[in-house]
Amino acid sequence: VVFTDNRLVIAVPAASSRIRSLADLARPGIRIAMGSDGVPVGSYTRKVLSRLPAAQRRAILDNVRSEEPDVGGVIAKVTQKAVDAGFVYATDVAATSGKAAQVAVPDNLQPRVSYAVAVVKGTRHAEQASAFVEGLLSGRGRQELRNAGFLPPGR
Amino acid sequence: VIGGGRVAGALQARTRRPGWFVVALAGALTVALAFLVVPVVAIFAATSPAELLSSLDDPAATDALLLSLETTTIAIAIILAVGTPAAYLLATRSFPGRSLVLTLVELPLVLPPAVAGIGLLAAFGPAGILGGPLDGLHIRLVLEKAGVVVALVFVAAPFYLRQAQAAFAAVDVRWLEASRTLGVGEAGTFARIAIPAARPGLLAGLALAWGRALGEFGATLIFAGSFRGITQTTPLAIYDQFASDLTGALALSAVLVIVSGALLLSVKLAGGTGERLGAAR
Repeated sequence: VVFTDNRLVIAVPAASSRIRSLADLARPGIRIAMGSDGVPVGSYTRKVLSRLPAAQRRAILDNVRSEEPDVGGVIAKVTQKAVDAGFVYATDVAATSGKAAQVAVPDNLQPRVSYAVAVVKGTRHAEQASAFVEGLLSGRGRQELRNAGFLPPGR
Repeated sequence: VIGGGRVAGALQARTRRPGWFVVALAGALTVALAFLVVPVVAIFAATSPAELLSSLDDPAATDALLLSLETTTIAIAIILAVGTPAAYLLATRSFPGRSLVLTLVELPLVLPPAVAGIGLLAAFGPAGILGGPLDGLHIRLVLEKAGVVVALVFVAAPFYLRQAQAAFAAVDVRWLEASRTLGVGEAGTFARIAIPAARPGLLAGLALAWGRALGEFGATLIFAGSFRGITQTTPLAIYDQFASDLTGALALSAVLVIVSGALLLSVKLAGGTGERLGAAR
């Protein structure tokens, strides 16, 4: 069952005004970090880029300076100002406590980023597992997820 | 010389009747060897020679190998050029704070690579304490090839410095004094007596540092990032493939083991001839 959703955003260093929209990423001299092909954030990023016109996509990919093995590496490169922008989840920007700001990725380009949870069939702890899943979907777990910037499932 | 003979004699006497202790020693070595060799064997057992060769057809893999060779060679050249005289000074002179300097120089040895990477970022990154001056000089290290070299030098240099310092310290002081008495200057003594005499130790340090540089992962990733052809060295490429293509990751690992092993072996062989020459002299 899907318990929460997330959005892909462009993270930029807090004090930087070089990037105001997705289109700015294609400008020459901009430095970008993204997830590598094999990791979730990287494949979501590629999904977004694949929905852009070919010339713009190529210009953005030409500005990529690092392909990180996880999303933490991308956000760290942004907060350290090693790059001008990086593709991360909205929750990653929220977790930097102000060191990074986000530039939205337009809705028509957004990939569906969902997190699912399941109870393992035949587990000896089925009751506790169901309670955990319930907790994620309602009550405190749900509240904690909202506080961290996650979205309600199935928007 | 007399002392050395006595020690050798004592050793011989002991090996003539191996007791339980020697058996225990042999057992410990066997366990250590088996444990250290098994993962390496497993890499080759899981990789057919065909896969190994086909991994070299992958342009991302060859880019990574070439980049690794290039950046480690530059890093080792820097380490040799700066580290050799620095180690000589540490080994042959006593000055106030010498043991503190020794400790500081060896500190990166005990730092986790991730800490090294974060430290480099905090020092030389765009937001780091030296970021402003470097930017003023138009020097950009983060996410650049130069940044890879900086990370490699940082993590690998202590391996060489340590060995080189020990090697110079083991050179018979009388040789150096004799050289000076015969009118050869300090620099000449260093270049013509100390370096040849310490050569086996220097080469051993070189091999260790080079091997460490070839395997460097954490500091490179954090400080220099990972981008094919620019900053993605072989270990980073292996990790990148590990997520999607375990066979390719294993094959590239096998290639890296071969390259590192060949390097260690060739330096050992070069050092071996040096030792024999030294003995003949």
